[in-house]
Amino acid sequence: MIIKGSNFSVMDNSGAKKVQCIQTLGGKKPTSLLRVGDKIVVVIKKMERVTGVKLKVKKSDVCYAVIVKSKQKVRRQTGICVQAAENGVILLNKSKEPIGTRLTGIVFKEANRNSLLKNVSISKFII
Amino acid sequence: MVLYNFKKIQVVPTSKDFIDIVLSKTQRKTPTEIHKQYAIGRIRSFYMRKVKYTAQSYHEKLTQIIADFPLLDDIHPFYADLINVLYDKDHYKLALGQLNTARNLIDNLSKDYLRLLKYGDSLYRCKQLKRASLGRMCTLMLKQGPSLLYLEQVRQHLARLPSIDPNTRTLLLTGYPNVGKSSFMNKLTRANVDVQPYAFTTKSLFVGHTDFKYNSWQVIDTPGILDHPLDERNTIEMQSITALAHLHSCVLFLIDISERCGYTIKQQVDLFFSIKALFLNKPLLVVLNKIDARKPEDVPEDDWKLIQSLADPAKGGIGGTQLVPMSNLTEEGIAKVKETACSILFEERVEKKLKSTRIEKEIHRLHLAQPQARDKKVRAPCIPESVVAAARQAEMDEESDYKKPTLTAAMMEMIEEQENDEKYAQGIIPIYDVNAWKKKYLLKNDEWKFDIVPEIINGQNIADFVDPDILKRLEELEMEEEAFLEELKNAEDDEESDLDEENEQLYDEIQEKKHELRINHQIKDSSKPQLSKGRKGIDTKQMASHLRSMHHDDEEVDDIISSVRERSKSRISGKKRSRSESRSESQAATSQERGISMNRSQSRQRSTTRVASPAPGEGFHDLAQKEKADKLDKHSRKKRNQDGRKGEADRHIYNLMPKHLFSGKRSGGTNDFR
Amino acid sequence: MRIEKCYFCSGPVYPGHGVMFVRNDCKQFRFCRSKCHKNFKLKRNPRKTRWTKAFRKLNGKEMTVDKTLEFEKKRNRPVKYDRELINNTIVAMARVQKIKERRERTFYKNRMEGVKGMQKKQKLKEINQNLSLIRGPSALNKLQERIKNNAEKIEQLTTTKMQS
Repeated sequence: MIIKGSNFSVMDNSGAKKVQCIQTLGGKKPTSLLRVGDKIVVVIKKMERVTGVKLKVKKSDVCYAVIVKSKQKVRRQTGICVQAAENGVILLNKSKEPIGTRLTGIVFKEANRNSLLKNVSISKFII
Repeated sequence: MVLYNFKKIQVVPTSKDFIDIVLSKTQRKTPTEIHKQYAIGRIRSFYMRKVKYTAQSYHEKLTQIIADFPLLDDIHPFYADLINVLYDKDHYKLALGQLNTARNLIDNLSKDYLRLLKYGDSLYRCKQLKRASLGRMCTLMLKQGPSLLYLEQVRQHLARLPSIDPNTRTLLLTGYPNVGKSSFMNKLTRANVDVQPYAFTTKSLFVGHTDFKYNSWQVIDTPGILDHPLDERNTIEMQSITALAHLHSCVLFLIDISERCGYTIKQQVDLFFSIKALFLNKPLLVVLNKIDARKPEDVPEDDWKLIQSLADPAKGGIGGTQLVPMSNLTEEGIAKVKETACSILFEERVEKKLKSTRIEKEIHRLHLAQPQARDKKVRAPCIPESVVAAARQAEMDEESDYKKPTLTAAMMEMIEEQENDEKYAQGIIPIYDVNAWKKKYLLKNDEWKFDIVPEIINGQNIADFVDPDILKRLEELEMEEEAFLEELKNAEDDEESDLDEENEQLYDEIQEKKHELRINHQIKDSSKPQLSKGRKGIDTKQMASHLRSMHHDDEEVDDIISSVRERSKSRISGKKRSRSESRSESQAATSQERGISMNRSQSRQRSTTRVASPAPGEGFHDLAQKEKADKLDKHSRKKRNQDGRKGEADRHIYNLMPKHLFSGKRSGGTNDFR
Repeated sequence: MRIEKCYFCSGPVYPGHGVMFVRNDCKQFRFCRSKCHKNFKLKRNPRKTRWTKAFRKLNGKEMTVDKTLEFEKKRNRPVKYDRELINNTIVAMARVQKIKERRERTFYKNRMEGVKGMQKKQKLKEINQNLSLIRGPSALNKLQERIKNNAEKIEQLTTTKMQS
């Protein structure tokens, strides 16, 4: 069950590790249940330990994100239910484009509902 | 390598801003509270600090400005000249010099006032001294207004200068205005220079970069030059001249042979000769542009001779100059111009490097080793014959594979598009075929293209079994299987004999019995406490049937039953109570007739004796009434006895008024409503 | 469309059935039904769970080494569509399946070789011990000889087993 206040792992190389949802977008109430492909506002709770690279985000930054995988089962057109081990997002900038340049974890196909991932579509992480 | 980057010069504030910045900084960073009753030493140091701090901030700011701006003597002569051309060297130096003097003056000023402040005898006097000193400093700075303004403009312009690296490989475009320098630049690089059909579109230097032979080449587009003496040249032209003079580069002199730029070929050639001095000792290339408008063959002979004279040292030209025709419009010859220009510059640079002293230090380090041949035997790489044969076979296969589809996918697509276009032209909108893409398959047989390929059969994926030599493998398997079956036929089966029939029967019987017992046990719900309902015996019929089921003979069964009867009889007759004796005897006789067991009759006997006629105190009218009452009593107790749940030990007095519900105040009113 | 293999029980997962779980390292686990999924969530090892194919194969309860099993393989090299090849494949698949089934029967027979004697012994024992359930004392007397006989047989079976 993903709602406002849920925690996520970050599936890109933006440098953030854990984020929390603080607002839902797209006409969804804070209490409504979110699913893969929904856009949200998150706050960065934990960063990865990287040295020597200048990152675009830092701890306690607020940015947009799109949910890319969920523990909740996702029903595909082909009939199979897919579920991941954790809930994950990738971070977006103000114009809703990915901040990171690479995927580092699993991303469901459903996240691509609005052709968001066109530059990373050839990836073994997309399931 | 020194890179010239003037973008990092900090903003030069106007004089008013300058004063504001410094004074507000002083106000912020120094203490503000002072009272006249303070010790005079404290008051003095308070004001001295203010004066010192202000002077220091002025000093720092001015030093930074002076340090930021490049010193004309230190930078590359190209830039020095460019700055001279653009901003006037004298003015530039003067402005910086003025700032420098202002800095010294402020330093001295603060020193003087600090000395005076040491002798200030009251708060008022100290304050006046501070005021005077700060005021003088500010007036001094106000006077620097024009030079600060000038420096700010210079800074802004410097920041926008293209970052030209004077030492790298450079191609320099030059020529009359409007001969196509900027268009050539756009063709060569991605600089996207503005191109317009009037003279002096390009007003300053532009830089682009292009690649040739894995190296990056800098291309500089210069403003056009007119043919007149150096003194009369304007700033725009002078930039070109500066670049030509100071940058060691390959010069591309563009000549418009169609004369569409508004200048005749003669004029252009004259320009070449007038600025010839700038081309000396540099690789030079004369580019004949706009050959799309006029072919080189169509050029009048006189003009052609003039052009030829550029490469002729006898006629005042520079020897070794190449003439390359080119057109920006049709892109004809552009590649060739680039190639020639780059290669001549490259050779020149290499030559220069080889000549320099530095190379001598390094060259001895290089050594190209080559193994000496042991003998004259040829040692060709060894390729096994099988490999060669396999390669040949693969080639053949490929040929045979692709022989059939004569059209490639792309060609078919084109044909399809053509068909569609034709249909559109006729006014028919072609129906979109979902399977259209299948047409593009390249298969052995064209008929197969639209086959529906099965994927799954009997819970297996066909794709998992597809193997080019499946039939061969299947054959092998069949052979193996046949051999195995043969073997199996020969082998005798020796199976263990089963149980004999009687044992089997016994076994089944035992299993059945066990099952019955188990079921009976389950039915008998032993989890609840059970009230004994009086001892209940087994009657003879039951007993007999049980004994028979246990395979006793009939005679034996009769014997057992009779013996049991005998025993029960003797038990009743042994009773002491004589009053009921006759009765029991008679009853026993009847029961025997009816086939009822002794035990049952005994219990009946007991129950009947218990009902006695009502005693005087009991309150019953007669026996019938008492019997009825007894019956009702028993009935009422029946349910309770059956349950058998609650006993004496379960007595419990309930708390009728629990304390916590009936005491204390509550915030929401009294506790009555609870 | 493909029939996948259940991670837990190795049964077929038909299109439109089951659940897929994706671990953080991108490994995909498919389950044919909730039973398998639940067992996976309980962190049970399919090799130690008695009812799975993996257990049966590991413990020699099913055929593991056979030529027929080599026909079915996930092939990563694509083969160009060829109608004849597909036809041949379908024919071959049926034949291979038949052979496989026969071999499995043989395998089972071989595996069950010693069981029959054991069962017989057990039955005889059961008869001797529990005869009193169905026979009264006097009836039992008449069967004395049979009991003796059975005891002898049991003795014989145990000794043969020991020898073998």
